[in-house]
Amino acid sequence: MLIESLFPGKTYREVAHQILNILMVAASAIMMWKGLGILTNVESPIVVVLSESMEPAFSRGDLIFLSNFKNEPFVAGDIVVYKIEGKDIPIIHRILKIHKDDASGEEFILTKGDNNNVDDRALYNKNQLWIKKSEIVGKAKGYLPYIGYFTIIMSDYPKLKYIMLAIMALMMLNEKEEKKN
Amino acid sequence: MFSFYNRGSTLLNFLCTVLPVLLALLACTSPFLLNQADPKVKINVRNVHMKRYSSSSTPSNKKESTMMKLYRYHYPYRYPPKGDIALIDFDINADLTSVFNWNVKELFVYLVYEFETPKQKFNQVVVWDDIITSKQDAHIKGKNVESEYLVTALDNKLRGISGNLTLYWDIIPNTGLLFQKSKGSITVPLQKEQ
Repeated sequence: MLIESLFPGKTYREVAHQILNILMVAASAIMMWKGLGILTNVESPIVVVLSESMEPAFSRGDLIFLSNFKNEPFVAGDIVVYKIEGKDIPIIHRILKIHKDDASGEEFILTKGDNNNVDDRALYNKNQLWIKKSEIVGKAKGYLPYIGYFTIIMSDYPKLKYIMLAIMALMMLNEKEEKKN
Repeated sequence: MFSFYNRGSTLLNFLCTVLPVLLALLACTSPFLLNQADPKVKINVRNVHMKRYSSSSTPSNKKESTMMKLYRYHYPYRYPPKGDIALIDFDINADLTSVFNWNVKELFVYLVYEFETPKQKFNQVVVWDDIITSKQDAHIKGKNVESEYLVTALDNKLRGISGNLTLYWDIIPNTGLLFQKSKGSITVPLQKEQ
């Protein structure tokens, strides 16, 4: 009864088919995303630039593609995305200094945004002078301008998200009536 | 096929198909165009200033006070540790105009000093950087340019260290992959005492 009212004029089989199609699309999207993550060795391989600290290279809303391959060690001048332990915000800046200690194998990295006057030490934890390789999410490899502005608008105005979802639901329901005619 | 919705939908569909293909083609032209670039780089070092910093030391000239100020900027919450700090003055003549093509948005040019210390074989420090956004500005000429960042070592000892100064440029495209190229490496020993 419920299904007949939600999807008028369709058999159970057609409804099931439709739901399966939607699930296939969702599953393919997730597979592509996770597959890209495995390919690049980064959990979240596409990031959107949120701050203006890398102007004029990267502006707010630009899309950055990351990678973290073992055979590409970090060098000075690399643009990296890193997350300080305890703070969840990813930061996209450039490596200013890098020292690799022979004894421990640990790398000591200092970063700085191109548009900032000082290096990032004020952004690190209270007594932290360097960041470690493990705090770096990945190295910036590719760049697409402007495309990410959409996600910035969505997160700044959450009501827009609900409006979009409502529009998509309405479109889905309308589609069925047209097909019937 | 005559409603606003249908027309808008088709247009959007077309845009979303053509645009990525165009961007991908543009990105693919980058490696070929960059291979044709022929940059000429010449760096030489005028002077290397080295100072052993301690919180009680007073600067004896303008260069030393600049070095001490730069060192203190590096330590926002406390006094910098006692140690050797070095500042390099250099001349630079780099013609990077041939690197610019239709897919180059900006060149981030930076001088890297790479050296070895007894306990750390791999050390790289950026001593100077510059942003070039257009082909006209791409010929960098500077005489007796003072570095923007100090050379420091992890264990704060720089005596007897010798390293290489190389010019790198990071090519930020309009779309596509980022490339880093370098040229013009010279050996720069950090002298013992001024």
